[in-house]
Amino acid sequence: MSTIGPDPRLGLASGLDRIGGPLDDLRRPSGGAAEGVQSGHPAAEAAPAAPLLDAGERILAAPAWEGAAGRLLPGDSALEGRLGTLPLAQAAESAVDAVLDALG
Amino acid sequence: MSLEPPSPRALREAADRLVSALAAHADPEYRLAVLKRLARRLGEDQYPLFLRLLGVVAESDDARAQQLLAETFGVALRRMDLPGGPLSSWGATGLPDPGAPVAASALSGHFFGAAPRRMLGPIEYLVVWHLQRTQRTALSDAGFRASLERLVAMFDRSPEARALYPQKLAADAQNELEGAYTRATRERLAAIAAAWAAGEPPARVAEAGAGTGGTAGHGWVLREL
Repeated sequence: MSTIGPDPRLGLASGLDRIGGPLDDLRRPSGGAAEGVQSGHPAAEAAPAAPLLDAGERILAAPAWEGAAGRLLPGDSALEGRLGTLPLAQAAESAVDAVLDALG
Repeated sequence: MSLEPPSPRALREAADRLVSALAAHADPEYRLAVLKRLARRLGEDQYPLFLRLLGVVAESDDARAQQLLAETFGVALRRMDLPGGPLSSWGATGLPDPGAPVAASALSGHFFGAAPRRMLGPIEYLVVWHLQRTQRTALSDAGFRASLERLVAMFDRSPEARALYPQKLAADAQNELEGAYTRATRERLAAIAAAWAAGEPPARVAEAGAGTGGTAGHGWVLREL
């Protein structure tokens, strides 16, 4: 018969209690990738879970025509004229600069 | 650049400048260079913004702008040189050639740990983003359909893009060797190609791509590891 008795320090309930705090922290929504994870707390359950949406999808769905009178692209004749005077390689680089500038 | 969506005004302004920039020279190589440099300078994580700019032109009532953009993609398809974006892909390997010296760049995170990424054209990017496990959270069904429909409608403005893109997708769908696409992805690419080549309207092509129409009428999404 074994003479080794149970170690009181290994109480299952107290062990789970010790890790309960960190697990709750992990469950708590903190924005970004943690969005939409249910915490188990009543207050959190009452709030609707935010759908997990990739940042790229938010960009893909970004509205473009709010506040616009119509859907015509007026054209930037000044930019077109300026690029037209440049050599092709330089024009291509300046063209990208202009588009990126518009995006901020 | 911020991962937050630009304002509507900024999106319109950027799309407008892109079209004007393409119109500045008639040289098709110049136009393709503009698109490729824009995709590259936006950065790997911002390829969706490049797709959004295409989408803004597609959503506009400016048929000339759409044709200009579509014709440039026709050139890219003829040269097999689409302005692409990277997605980590199932089955892709970063193993170096055993018979060749190993370049230092091969020992980056793409070799140890991080999944290798493949450059994908606009439609291929949307399909893989929607169906496969990548570095991005999967693109929703609604987002996939809307974006695919817009792109197909715009590419239809160019007879060359309209003819070559379905052929390219059909060829991709038959390629099992490289491991860039899962079987489900290849089925959807084939469905898109078939519907598009058959002259279906963009909405039907998008339905085929989503698996709710055309030849892939299962109505649910397959995911494979």
